[in-house]
Amino acid sequence: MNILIDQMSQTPIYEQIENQIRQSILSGGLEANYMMPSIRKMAKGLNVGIITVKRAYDDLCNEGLLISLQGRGVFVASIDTDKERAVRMGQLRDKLSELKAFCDTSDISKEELVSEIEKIFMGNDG
Amino acid sequence: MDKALTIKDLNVKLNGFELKNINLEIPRGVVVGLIGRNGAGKTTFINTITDIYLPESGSVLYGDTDLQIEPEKAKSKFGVVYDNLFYPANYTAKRIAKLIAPFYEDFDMNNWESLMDRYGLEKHKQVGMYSKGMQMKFMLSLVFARNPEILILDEPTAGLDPAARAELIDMLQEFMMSEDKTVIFSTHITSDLDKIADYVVLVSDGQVVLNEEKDELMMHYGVVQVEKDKLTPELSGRLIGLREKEFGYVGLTKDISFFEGRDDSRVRRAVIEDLLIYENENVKSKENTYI
Repeated sequence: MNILIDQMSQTPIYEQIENQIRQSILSGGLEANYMMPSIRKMAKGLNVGIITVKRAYDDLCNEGLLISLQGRGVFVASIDTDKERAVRMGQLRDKLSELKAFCDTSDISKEELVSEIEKIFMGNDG
Repeated sequence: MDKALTIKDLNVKLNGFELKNINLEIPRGVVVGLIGRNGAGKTTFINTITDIYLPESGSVLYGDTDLQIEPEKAKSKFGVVYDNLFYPANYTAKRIAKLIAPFYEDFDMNNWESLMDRYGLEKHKQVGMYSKGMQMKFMLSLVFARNPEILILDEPTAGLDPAARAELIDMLQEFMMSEDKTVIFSTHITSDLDKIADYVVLVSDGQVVLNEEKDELMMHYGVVQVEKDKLTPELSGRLIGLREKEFGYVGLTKDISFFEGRDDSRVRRAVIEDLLIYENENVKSKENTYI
């Protein structure tokens, strides 16, 4: 498993870790039942704080992508298509709320946004 | 959570310098960075919790052990590394180890020797001949040979080159591999150590003015630039340590989301160093005192 941390990025480090693990799981790079490195081992390997890694693991456990078994470690959950779709929809919602924030500050209406999205889907955006 | 160190209403007075009413709880299993400008009280703080200075009032507890009531028991729980070697430079490493071993019941000479081998340090060399980085490793070896629960370091990176700093960080993270270990270090150069810190404690003028989980800090704190003619009370009220620059204003905010996507200002995520740069009277306002 490769995880790259960009210290200069505006994305918080725990989120960078989270995103890369999520991506690996969804793409099949990390298979179900794979045992994740311990929190401390990953913190050492990435040169980040222990709580930072813990936060990323906790979030992924809440999403159902990882499973923490008391005293045994953290494992990759098995992902069925429903779960994968739920995660993808969650990612879409995140992107859309960013888009909404942009529209709010840029004085773009919902109708204008929807019409632009439709144009992209119709393939006649330019 | 289980506490490694609890400090209650600690007051210290030392020829003109004071630590004022410090309250702090440090959970077990984390790395804590104690930051502050030179003269803010970091070393006084460390010297007080390691029983070099006697407080006027208040208590220091390692786990449940009070440093003043059971000093020997409390002291067996931690190891301290200072920023300079305080052993005679013409003594060999081995001689120093033999000298200090009797003072610590838990000093394990075999463990020490294997640590020295692992760090690539020659045991029969005079410690004055070691480089600054090697001296740091040597002092860590003396502490690790006792396998303490808590490691306290005063300005450990001072005078170390980048490679030695990276090595030190690696050694601290190695120490943290067991879950019950705790590291407390002070620094005023925050850039390398802040990566591995879980908590940040900011000391200013003898007081703890901020104590927070680092990720929380990084999530909410930002450095904001405002154009010259666009500074309104709405903006300035959210900025700490506001200062005027040639091309506009710059300050620290605790509310990065307020500034995101605005066209009257630019914001970037803060790094720990920014806390020291923008720290001023505003930082010490009541609402910022977390403890």
